[in-house]
Amino acid sequence: MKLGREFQLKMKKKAGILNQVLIQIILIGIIFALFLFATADKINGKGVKQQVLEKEIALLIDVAEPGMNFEVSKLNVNGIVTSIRLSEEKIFVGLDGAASFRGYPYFTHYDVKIFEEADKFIVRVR
Amino acid sequence: MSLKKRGALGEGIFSIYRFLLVALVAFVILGLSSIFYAYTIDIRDAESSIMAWNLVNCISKEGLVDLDSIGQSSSRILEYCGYDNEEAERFYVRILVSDSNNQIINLTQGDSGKLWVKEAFERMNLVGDEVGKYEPGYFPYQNLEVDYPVLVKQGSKIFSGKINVEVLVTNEEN
Repeated sequence: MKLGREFQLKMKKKAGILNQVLIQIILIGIIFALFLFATADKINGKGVKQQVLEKEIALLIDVAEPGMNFEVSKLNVNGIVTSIRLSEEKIFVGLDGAASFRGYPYFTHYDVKIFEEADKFIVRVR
Repeated sequence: MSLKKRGALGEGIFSIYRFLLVALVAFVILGLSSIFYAYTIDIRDAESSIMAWNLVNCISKEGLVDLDSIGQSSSRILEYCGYDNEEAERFYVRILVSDSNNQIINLTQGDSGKLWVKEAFERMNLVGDEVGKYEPGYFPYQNLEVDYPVLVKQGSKIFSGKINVEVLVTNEEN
Protein backbone atom coordinates (compact mmCIF):
# COMPACT_ATOMS: atom_id res chain seq x y z
CA MET A 1 0.00 0.00 0.00
CA LYS A 2 2.79 2.37 1.03
CA LEU A 3 4.81 1.56 -2.10
CA GLY A 4 1.79 2.22 -4.33
CA ARG A 5 1.23 5.65 -2.78
CA GLU A 6 4.89 6.62 -3.20
CA PHE A 7 4.74 5.53 -6.83
CA GLN A 8 1.61 7.64 -7.38
CA LEU A 9 3.29 10.68 -5.77
CA LYS A 10 6.39 10.21 -7.94
CA MET A 11 4.26 9.96 -11.10
CA LYS A 12 2.29 13.06 -10.08
CA LYS A 13 5.53 14.99 -9.60
CA LYS A 14 6.89 13.82 -12.97
CA ALA A 15 3.63 14.78 -14.71
CA GLY A 16 3.87 18.25 -13.11
CA ILE A 17 7.44 18.73 -14.39
CA LEU A 18 6.43 17.49 -17.87
CA ASN A 19 3.51 19.96 -17.96
CA GLN A 20 5.80 22.81 -16.92
CA VAL A 21 8.39 21.90 -19.55
CA LEU A 22 5.70 21.65 -22.24
CA ILE A 23 4.26 25.06 -21.33
CA GLN A 24 7.76 26.59 -21.37
CA ILE A 25 8.56 25.04 -24.77
CA ILE A 26 5.29 26.38 -26.20
CA LEU A 27 5.96 29.87 -24.79
CA ILE A 28 9.54 29.87 -26.11
CA GLY A 29 8.20 28.74 -29.51
CA ILE A 30 5.71 31.62 -29.51
CA ILE A 31 8.50 34.12 -28.67
CA PHE A 32 10.69 32.79 -31.50
CA ALA A 33 7.76 32.78 -33.95
CA LEU A 34 6.92 36.41 -33.06
CA PHE A 35 10.51 37.53 -33.62
CA LEU A 36 10.76 35.48 -36.81
CA PHE A 37 7.61 37.10 -38.23
CA ALA A 38 8.79 40.55 -37.16
CA THR A 39 12.18 40.03 -38.82
CA ALA A 40 10.70 38.46 -41.95
CA ASP A 41 8.35 41.43 -42.27
CA LYS A 42 11.31 43.78 -41.89
CA ILE A 43 13.39 41.86 -44.45
CA ASN A 44 10.68 41.41 -47.06
CA GLY A 45 8.96 44.72 -46.55
CA LYS A 46 10.63 48.00 -45.93
CA GLY A 47 14.23 46.97 -46.73
CA VAL A 48 13.34 45.59 -50.15
CA LYS A 49 11.10 48.57 -50.98
CA GLN A 50 13.89 50.92 -49.94
CA GLN A 51 16.31 48.97 -52.13
CA VAL A 52 13.88 49.11 -55.10
CA LEU A 53 13.58 52.91 -54.80
CA GLU A 54 17.32 53.45 -54.37
CA LYS A 55 18.21 51.29 -57.35
CA GLU A 56 15.50 52.77 -59.57
CA ILE A 57 16.67 56.32 -58.81
CA ALA A 58 20.36 55.29 -59.23
CA LEU A 59 19.60 53.83 -62.69
CA LEU A 60 17.68 56.99 -63.65
CA ILE A 61 20.67 59.12 -62.59
CA ASP A 62 23.07 56.79 -64.47
CA VAL A 63 21.19 57.24 -67.72
CA ALA A 64 20.13 60.90 -67.31
CA GLU A 65 21.31 63.63 -69.66
CA PRO A 66 21.86 67.24 -68.54
CA GLY A 67 18.61 69.17 -68.28
CA MET A 68 16.57 66.19 -67.10
CA ASN A 69 14.44 66.34 -63.96
CA PHE A 70 12.53 63.51 -62.43
CA GLU A 71 10.09 63.51 -59.56
CA VAL A 72 9.66 61.01 -56.74
CA SER A 73 6.28 61.35 -55.05
CA LYS A 74 6.41 61.28 -51.24
CA LEU A 75 3.25 59.16 -51.20
CA ASN A 76 4.92 56.41 -53.17
CA VAL A 77 3.62 52.96 -54.10
CA ASN A 78 6.48 51.57 -51.96
CA GLY A 79 5.54 53.63 -48.88
CA ILE A 80 6.01 57.18 -47.64
CA VAL A 81 9.33 58.55 -48.85
CA THR A 82 10.68 60.65 -45.97
CA SER A 83 14.07 61.60 -47.37
CA ILE A 84 16.30 61.33 -50.42
CA ARG A 85 19.93 62.35 -50.13
CA LEU A 86 23.15 61.98 -52.09
CA SER A 87 26.43 61.33 -50.31
CA GLU A 88 29.79 59.97 -51.52
CA GLU A 89 28.41 59.00 -54.95
CA LYS A 90 25.60 57.03 -53.32
CA ILE A 91 21.87 57.58 -53.07
CA PHE A 92 20.04 57.07 -49.76
CA VAL A 93 16.24 56.84 -49.57
CA GLY A 94 14.42 57.06 -46.23
CA LEU A 95 11.15 55.14 -46.25
CA ASP A 96 8.36 55.31 -43.64
CA GLY A 97 10.70 57.12 -41.25
CA ALA A 98 13.45 54.49 -41.48
CA ALA A 99 16.78 55.90 -42.68
CA SER A 100 18.92 54.06 -45.21
CA PHE A 101 22.44 53.21 -44.06
CA ARG A 102 23.92 51.36 -47.06
CA GLY A 103 22.64 53.40 -49.99
CA TYR A 104 23.41 52.49 -53.59
CA PRO A 105 26.19 53.88 -55.80
CA TYR A 106 25.32 55.78 -58.97
CA PHE A 107 27.63 57.02 -61.73
CA THR A 108 27.30 60.19 -63.69
CA HIS A 109 29.62 62.92 -64.87
CA TYR A 110 26.91 65.55 -64.47
CA ASP A 111 25.86 67.60 -61.46
CA VAL A 112 22.97 65.99 -59.55
CA LYS A 113 20.92 67.79 -56.90
CA ILE A 114 17.84 66.85 -54.87
CA PHE A 115 15.10 69.40 -54.09
CA GLU A 116 12.32 68.74 -51.62
CA GLU A 117 8.83 70.09 -52.22
CA ALA A 118 5.63 69.64 -50.22
CA ASP A 119 4.55 66.37 -51.82
CA LYS A 120 7.57 65.25 -53.84
CA PHE A 121 11.33 65.15 -54.27
CA ILE A 122 12.84 66.47 -57.50
CA VAL A 123 16.11 65.02 -58.79
CA ARG A 124 17.74 67.59 -61.10
CA VAL A 125 20.58 66.68 -63.46
CA ARG A 126 22.62 69.58 -64.91
CA MET B 1 3.18 31.44 3.78
CA SER B 2 3.77 27.69 3.54
CA LEU B 3 7.01 26.31 2.20
CA LYS B 4 5.17 24.76 -0.76
CA LYS B 5 3.68 28.14 -1.78
CA ARG B 6 7.05 29.88 -1.35
CA GLY B 7 8.66 27.26 -3.54
CA ALA B 8 6.02 27.71 -6.23
CA LEU B 9 6.48 31.50 -6.15
CA GLY B 10 10.25 31.15 -6.45
CA GLU B 11 9.86 28.80 -9.41
CA GLY B 12 7.48 31.28 -11.10
CA ILE B 13 9.95 34.15 -10.70
CA PHE B 14 12.75 31.92 -11.98
CA SER B 15 10.75 31.02 -15.11
CA ILE B 16 10.10 34.75 -15.82
CA TYR B 17 13.88 35.29 -15.88
CA ARG B 18 14.23 32.27 -18.14
CA PHE B 19 11.66 33.69 -20.61
CA LEU B 20 13.35 37.08 -20.58
CA LEU B 21 16.69 35.41 -21.31
CA VAL B 22 15.18 33.37 -24.18
CA ALA B 23 13.52 36.53 -25.57
CA LEU B 24 16.87 38.36 -25.41
CA VAL B 25 18.70 35.53 -27.20
CA ALA B 26 15.96 35.36 -29.88
CA PHE B 27 16.09 39.12 -30.33
CA VAL B 28 19.88 39.13 -30.72
CA ILE B 29 19.99 36.14 -33.13
CA LEU B 30 17.17 37.34 -35.34
CA GLY B 31 18.27 40.96 -35.17
CA LEU B 32 21.73 39.99 -36.37
CA SER B 33 20.31 37.74 -39.08
CA SER B 34 18.14 40.61 -40.35
CA ILE B 35 21.31 42.70 -40.73
CA PHE B 36 23.33 40.06 -42.55
CA TYR B 37 20.53 38.50 -44.59
CA ALA B 38 18.88 40.67 -47.16
CA TYR B 39 17.14 40.06 -50.44
CA THR B 40 19.25 41.55 -53.22
CA ILE B 41 17.83 42.99 -56.41
CA ASP B 42 20.54 42.71 -59.04
CA ILE B 43 20.79 45.65 -61.46
CA ARG B 44 24.45 45.23 -62.40
CA ASP B 45 23.71 43.94 -65.92
CA ALA B 46 21.57 47.06 -66.49
CA GLU B 47 24.38 49.24 -65.08
CA SER B 48 26.93 47.63 -67.40
CA SER B 49 24.66 48.30 -70.42
CA ILE B 50 24.17 51.94 -69.37
CA MET B 51 27.92 52.39 -68.88
CA ALA B 52 28.64 50.85 -72.30
CA TRP B 53 26.07 53.19 -73.90
CA ASN B 54 27.56 56.21 -72.05
CA LEU B 55 31.10 55.28 -73.13
CA VAL B 56 30.16 54.80 -76.78
CA ASN B 57 28.45 58.23 -76.71
CA CYS B 58 31.49 59.72 -74.97
CA ILE B 59 34.22 58.54 -77.33
CA SER B 60 32.26 58.79 -80.57
CA LYS B 61 30.56 62.16 -80.39
CA GLU B 62 28.21 62.36 -83.38
CA GLY B 63 29.64 59.06 -84.63
CA LEU B 64 33.25 60.25 -84.96
CA VAL B 65 36.08 58.82 -82.82
CA ASP B 66 38.87 61.38 -82.57
CA LEU B 67 41.93 59.28 -81.70
CA ASP B 68 44.16 62.35 -81.32
CA SER B 69 42.07 63.67 -78.41
CA ILE B 70 41.81 60.33 -76.55
CA GLY B 71 45.22 58.87 -77.36
CA GLN B 72 46.78 60.03 -74.08
CA SER B 73 43.92 58.56 -72.02
CA SER B 74 44.02 55.04 -73.41
CA SER B 75 44.38 53.46 -69.95
CA ARG B 76 42.10 55.95 -68.20
CA ILE B 77 39.07 56.02 -70.43
CA LEU B 78 36.56 56.43 -67.56
CA GLU B 79 38.42 59.51 -66.35
CA TYR B 80 38.48 60.82 -69.93
CA CYS B 81 34.68 60.47 -69.96
CA GLY B 82 34.32 62.42 -66.70
CA TYR B 83 33.92 59.66 -64.09
CA ASP B 84 35.89 60.08 -60.88
CA ASN B 85 37.94 57.37 -59.15
CA GLU B 86 35.21 56.50 -56.66
CA GLU B 87 32.74 55.83 -59.48
CA ALA B 88 35.32 54.05 -61.63
CA GLU B 89 36.51 51.56 -59.01
CA ARG B 90 33.45 49.29 -59.46
CA PHE B 91 34.11 48.93 -63.19
CA TYR B 92 36.43 47.27 -65.62
CA VAL B 93 35.99 48.65 -69.15
CA ARG B 94 37.68 47.82 -72.44
CA ILE B 95 36.94 49.51 -75.75
CA LEU B 96 38.50 48.26 -78.97
CA VAL B 97 38.54 50.67 -81.87
CA SER B 98 39.40 49.01 -85.16
CA ASP B 99 39.16 49.59 -88.88
CA SER B 100 37.80 46.90 -91.19
CA ASN B 101 40.83 44.62 -90.57
CA ASN B 102 43.05 45.67 -87.67
CA GLN B 103 42.77 46.90 -84.12
CA ILE B 104 43.77 50.57 -83.93
CA ILE B 105 43.56 51.33 -80.22
CA ASN B 106 42.64 49.50 -77.02
CA LEU B 107 41.07 51.81 -74.40
CA THR B 108 40.81 50.42 -70.87
CA GLN B 109 40.36 51.28 -67.22
CA GLY B 110 39.97 49.15 -64.11
CA ASP B 111 41.32 45.84 -62.93
CA SER B 112 41.14 43.19 -65.68
CA GLY B 113 41.63 40.59 -62.93
CA LYS B 114 37.96 41.06 -62.09
CA LEU B 115 37.15 39.12 -65.27
CA TRP B 116 38.20 35.82 -63.64
CA VAL B 117 35.21 36.09 -61.26
CA LYS B 118 32.87 36.22 -64.25
CA GLU B 119 34.74 33.36 -65.94
CA ALA B 120 34.54 31.28 -62.76
CA PHE B 121 30.77 31.82 -62.59
CA GLU B 122 30.42 30.76 -66.23
CA ARG B 123 32.66 27.70 -65.94
CA MET B 124 31.15 26.41 -62.72
CA ASN B 125 27.63 27.40 -63.78
CA LEU B 126 27.02 29.01 -60.38
CA VAL B 127 23.43 30.17 -59.89
CA GLY B 128 21.13 31.00 -56.97
CA ASP B 129 20.42 33.95 -54.69
CA GLU B 130 23.21 33.36 -52.17
CA VAL B 131 26.09 32.92 -54.62
CA GLY B 132 24.43 34.93 -57.42
CA LYS B 133 24.89 38.21 -55.59
CA TYR B 134 28.66 37.92 -56.11
CA GLU B 135 28.35 37.49 -59.89
CA PRO B 136 29.48 40.64 -61.66
CA GLY B 137 27.30 42.46 -64.15
CA TYR B 138 28.58 42.19 -67.69
CA PHE B 139 28.08 43.83 -71.06
CA PRO B 140 27.66 42.46 -73.75
CA TYR B 141 24.78 40.50 -72.27
CA GLN B 142 25.21 36.71 -72.69
CA ASN B 143 28.52 37.42 -74.49
CA LEU B 144 26.66 38.49 -77.66
CA GLU B 145 29.27 40.95 -78.90
CA VAL B 146 28.11 43.96 -80.87
CA ASP B 147 30.27 46.16 -83.09
CA TYR B 148 29.17 49.78 -83.40
CA PRO B 149 30.03 51.30 -86.81
CA VAL B 150 31.76 54.69 -86.52
CA LEU B 151 34.04 57.06 -88.38
CA VAL B 152 37.60 57.23 -87.04
CA LYS B 153 39.73 60.38 -87.23
CA GLN B 154 43.50 59.86 -86.95
CA GLY B 155 45.62 62.86 -87.83
CA SER B 156 44.17 64.25 -91.01
CA LYS B 157 42.70 60.91 -92.13
CA ILE B 158 39.04 59.94 -91.60
CA PHE B 159 38.02 56.36 -92.31
CA SER B 160 35.25 53.96 -91.33
CA GLY B 161 35.78 51.68 -88.37
CA LYS B 162 33.99 50.00 -85.51
CA ILE B 163 33.89 50.02 -81.69
CA ASN B 164 33.63 46.94 -79.53
CA VAL B 165 32.80 47.51 -75.83
CA GLU B 166 33.19 45.28 -72.79
CA VAL B 167 32.02 46.46 -69.34
CA LEU B 168 32.17 44.58 -66.06
CA VAL B 169 30.51 45.79 -62.83
CA THR B 170 31.59 44.17 -59.59
CA ASN B 171 29.29 43.21 -56.74
CA GLU B 172 27.87 45.84 -54.39
CA GLU B 173 30.24 45.10 -51.51
CA ASN B 174 33.33 45.83 -53.61
